[in-house]
Amino acid sequence: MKKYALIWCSEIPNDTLREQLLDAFRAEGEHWDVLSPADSDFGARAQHYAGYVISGSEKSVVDDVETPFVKNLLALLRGLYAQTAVPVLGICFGAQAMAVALGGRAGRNPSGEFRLGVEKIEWTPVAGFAEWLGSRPPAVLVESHGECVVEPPPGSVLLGSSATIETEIFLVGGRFLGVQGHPELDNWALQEILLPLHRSLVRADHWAAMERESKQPLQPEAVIALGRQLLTAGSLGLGEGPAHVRPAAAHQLREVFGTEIPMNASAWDRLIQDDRVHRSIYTDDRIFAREMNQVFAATWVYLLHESEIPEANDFRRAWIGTRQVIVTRDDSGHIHVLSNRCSHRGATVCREHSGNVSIFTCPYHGWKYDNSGQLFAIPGKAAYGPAFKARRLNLGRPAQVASYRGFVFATLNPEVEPLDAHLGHAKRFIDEWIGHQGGENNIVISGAQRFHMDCNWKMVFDNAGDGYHVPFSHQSLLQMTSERYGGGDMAYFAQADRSNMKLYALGNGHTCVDQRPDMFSISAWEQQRPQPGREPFERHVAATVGPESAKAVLESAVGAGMNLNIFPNLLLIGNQLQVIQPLKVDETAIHWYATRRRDADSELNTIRMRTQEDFPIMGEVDDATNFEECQRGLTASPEDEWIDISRHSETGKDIVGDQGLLTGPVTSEMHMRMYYTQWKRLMAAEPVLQISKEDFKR
Amino acid sequence: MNTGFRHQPQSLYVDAAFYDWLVDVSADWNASVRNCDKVDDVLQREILHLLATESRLLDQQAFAPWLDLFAAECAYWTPSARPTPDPRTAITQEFHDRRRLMDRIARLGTGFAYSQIPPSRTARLLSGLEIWASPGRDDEWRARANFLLADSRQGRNRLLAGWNGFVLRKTGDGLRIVVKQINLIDCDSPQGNNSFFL
Repeated sequence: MKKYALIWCSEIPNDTLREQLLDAFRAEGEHWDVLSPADSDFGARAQHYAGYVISGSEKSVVDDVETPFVKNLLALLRGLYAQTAVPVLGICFGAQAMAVALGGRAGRNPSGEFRLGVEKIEWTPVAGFAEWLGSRPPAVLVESHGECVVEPPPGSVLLGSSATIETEIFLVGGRFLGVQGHPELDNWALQEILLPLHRSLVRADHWAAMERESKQPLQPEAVIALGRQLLTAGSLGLGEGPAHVRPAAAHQLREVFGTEIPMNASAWDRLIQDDRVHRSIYTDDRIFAREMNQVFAATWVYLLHESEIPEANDFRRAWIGTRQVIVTRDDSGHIHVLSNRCSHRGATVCREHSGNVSIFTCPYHGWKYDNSGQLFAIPGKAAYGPAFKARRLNLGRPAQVASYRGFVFATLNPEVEPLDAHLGHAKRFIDEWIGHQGGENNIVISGAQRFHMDCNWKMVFDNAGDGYHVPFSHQSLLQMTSERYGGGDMAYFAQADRSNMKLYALGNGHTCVDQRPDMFSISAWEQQRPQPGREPFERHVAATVGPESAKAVLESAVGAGMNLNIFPNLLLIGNQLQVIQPLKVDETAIHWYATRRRDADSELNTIRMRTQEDFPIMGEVDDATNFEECQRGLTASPEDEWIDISRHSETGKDIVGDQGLLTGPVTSEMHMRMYYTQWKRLMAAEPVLQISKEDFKR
Repeated sequence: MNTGFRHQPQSLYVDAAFYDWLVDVSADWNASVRNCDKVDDVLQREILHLLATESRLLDQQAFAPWLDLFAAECAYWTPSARPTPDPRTAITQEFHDRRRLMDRIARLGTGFAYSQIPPSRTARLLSGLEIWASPGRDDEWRARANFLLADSRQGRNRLLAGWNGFVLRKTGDGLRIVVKQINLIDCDSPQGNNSFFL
């Protein structure tokens, strides 16, 4: 026997109201328990039912939100949404509680008056629902409320509106149905119970109208049928079709979140689903602001390669999201990461991108710091007293700094796991990438190509593990290469669904598109589009190295055959390091660092430069345009809420393969599904972010 | 002309000596003192006309006649740092021989080069042209001029600025561009959609 729970939230001493609610939604052969959020063991008792109905109440989800009663109910609803697949029907107060629990907002009726009477509900013919409705007439329900849902939860589907309030009936996730009216009540209950109870809340000059209204015929049948179908079937399967227009959607998240983004995990669960993500994560500037802390400052981010600051007193600016730091090497070779922010008034102390100095002097008032961040001189120090002198005023240092084989990372989160563990399975691929370069000390960063794009930073990360877009976004490059040279580089992506290439999930949001099985199967050098000076280079190689090692030299001139993506900001692509720098919610810079080899002659390193220039101007430009056009589309059509990331999620091709790594076809959108899992985990967390201004101790 | 190489035209001239020469020319363009007296007015006008044509053909996206203005052995070079690094040890925004210029043009002509669909509309101004003879040669000149490049695409307008360095040479086909170096004032900053030719 299926067991259901009626969460009875009213304290009105009248069993008729409760019985009418049970009668409306209880079916033959079901067992129903009645629970109250006031019960001390409510949270435990309310588990494991096949479905729930939440009743109306005299309480307010706004005014009473801090009471245990409302808190218990909201916690139950959030838990049911995040952790179960059961249906929930909320009536009146129950609908408002549902909205608030899932990231929406409740508030006073728009009229400012208590609403008591009968309301006609016009249906919203959304896809799937219109068919179900058929020729059913509008619903006519009893209404009795001082508050209502003023903003439905993100991702909800509006099913019905009245002349008085917009969100009369709504559905979230296909299984949380909110109904503001009372389909269970008849004219008798309205006239004999609700009117007398609420007389003091109704303006005297409205009373006669309400008495007249209370006699109007009701039409609750469709709403009862809808609720009954939900409780039986478990979900209504609506809102998955073409998007409907909801006028408030453009500002919905802003309104919903107010000044604070809700900290409950269910809000992020709604935005990041297994097979789709919500547009607002690309367009909402408050989500971007939170990303700068929760994603960029609270996990390991890549800053630079040690070869960029090889000498004592070298420095370069870098970014932890939008935070600017200076990475220095002191005269003993130790690498420091310092906030570029004077401890006095906050001015940046370093205004060059890179250079070689041992001292940073703030240009504003002359405070001097050495390149370990130590404050050592303040002009006119006699003007300061003991309280000042007791303060620690060195340049700020992020909580953790670490290098992995020449790659320098930092985080402001003292509790994040060590870099080695964070990189995890990605280390094997980083090691192989380093191996292609002849070892970690053989890599020399050799300038950068820098691009600015009017798109969210995640557009770049989305693309980094996307083997699906190649024959489309890069069609011009593939066609030109085919027409001019009979094919070559990346042509193997044309049949990518059936290729030997693999996509690996490496944990913590890291992934790798491994092109090597196809790229090196013949010869990567042969497949490479011709670089300036290719023929003189081939002659040089033939003349200077034996035939047995010529192939290895030529192959080392071209890419490593990987797109190795270290979440959130480092992409190893070919022989290049691409660093993603988020600027604003819809602005991103990418820095595409070239590499040469310390052990190579000038000819090999020159051809490496010419090779690494090829893709950015021939291919990246088209991706960048598509990123910007994605941003344009997402921004312009707020009612069209979802971005699909489901490719190969239902084909069974993402399998646990080599070394226990989740492995899929290169055209799988597993890359996005994996990194968004990490993104969601980080965004829901409340990490401590720290810098230290203590003296540096070697 | 096919000599067994599948990549035509071959890039035999882009060798160590060519790079040595380019680095030398690049330093010369950047010199602060130069003598421009030796170039006669007729040649001045001819070079000015050539550079004006080069600029206009790019604004017209007439890439085939544009490429015809270049010598067979030519270079198109957009550094990505200042002062201009040696292109053998540092990546550029773009460094093309004739063959890769042809690749670039062919790509734009496929109808699938989405960064240029719709194309960037550009208008260029060249100003402050200086011309001087290449040392020890009577058939080759060097030139430098500032540019302003207004760009409009998809409702976004930009203004790019900088200077160009040129090497111009008398060939059997007439006066041709041997090297064009494009120096954006913000070449070391992240760049927007420059997928046309600067």
